Amino acid sequence: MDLKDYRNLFAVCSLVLSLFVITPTLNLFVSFNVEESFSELSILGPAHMAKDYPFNVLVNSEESLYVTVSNHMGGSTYYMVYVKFRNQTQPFPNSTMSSSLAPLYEFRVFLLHGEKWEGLVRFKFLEVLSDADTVQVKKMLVNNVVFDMNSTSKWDHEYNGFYFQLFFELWLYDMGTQNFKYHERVVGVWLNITI
Amino acid sequence: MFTRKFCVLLLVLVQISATLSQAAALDGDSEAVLAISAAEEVTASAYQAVKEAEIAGADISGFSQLLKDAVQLLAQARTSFRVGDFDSAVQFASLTSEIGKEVETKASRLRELKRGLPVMQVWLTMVESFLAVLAVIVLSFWSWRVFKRLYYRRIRATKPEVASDGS
Repeated sequence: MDLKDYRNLFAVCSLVLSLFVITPTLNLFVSFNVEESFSELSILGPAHMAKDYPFNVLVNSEESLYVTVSNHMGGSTYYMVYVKFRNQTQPFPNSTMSSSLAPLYEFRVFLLHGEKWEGLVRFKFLEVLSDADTVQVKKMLVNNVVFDMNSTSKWDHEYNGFYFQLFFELWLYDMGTQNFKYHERVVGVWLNITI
Repeated sequence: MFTRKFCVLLLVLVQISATLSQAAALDGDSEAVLAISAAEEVTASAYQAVKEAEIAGADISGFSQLLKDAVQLLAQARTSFRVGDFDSAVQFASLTSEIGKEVETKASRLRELKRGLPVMQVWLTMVESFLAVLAVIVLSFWSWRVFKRLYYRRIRATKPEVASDGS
């Protein structure tokens, strides 16, 4: 190595050191944060595990599950979870649009970055009418609140049952529009109502 | 004749009581609507104030529990309204507004405290970086000169090798 090579090595080392010491100032103007921001929505069974979800449900028998929301949005976030109920033909949310069905119940949650919330959902079918090939849910109890409803399911010949779905949509407060917007996350459980 | 008059009077009374109860229900309904919409506004403002305080660098964990309580009560108010329990809806919404206002006040105060600080921090960071870069440049030049001197001294001290003649 001759003197010219050493000079180049010194120049490169000085440049690297200069960039290193100028990083705090660069951080003020350029964001190097590449962490992806997201939210999690999930449901757990009555034992806080991802199993033993309610499925075959009897009228007047109480069932429960837990809904959880985790905030990884990079800051505090204001969420809303809609609890909705539908039969097999009623609309389910797609990847961008929420279901047009009216919510039964709602949770509102404020979470700091990295926080997780868990809410208990206890439900019971109080009044169900049935005939040979239809079941009609007239009254349902969710977390001690009685809801009048009118949801009918026909006998499913393929899966042998009267199927309904209890599902949860995640919404998030948008400061720009000053309103909640659908956060494109949904989870649910199928319920086979047995008289 | 008397029976007929009595029936008419009874009908009129029934009609009046129905109208009055309907009006009362409507009153309860509209009162709940107003209370809930006020609570929604207060909660949104509180959340905005909290976000601004957080962006300004304030530690918001101290009153995040209050905002959690407020939004939870608001959800209860809306659910009560949905099932026609207007009294509970008004109660929950009023509590929400109360807590929401408290959060907003606390968050705004904290945000104001932090407001002047970032500008000073930016300047301080920039000055620190400038001085650090200057130090790196001066140090590099100085060490380069020292290195060059040592390098030449070593070259000069090196004795020329005499190649031996193999013949």
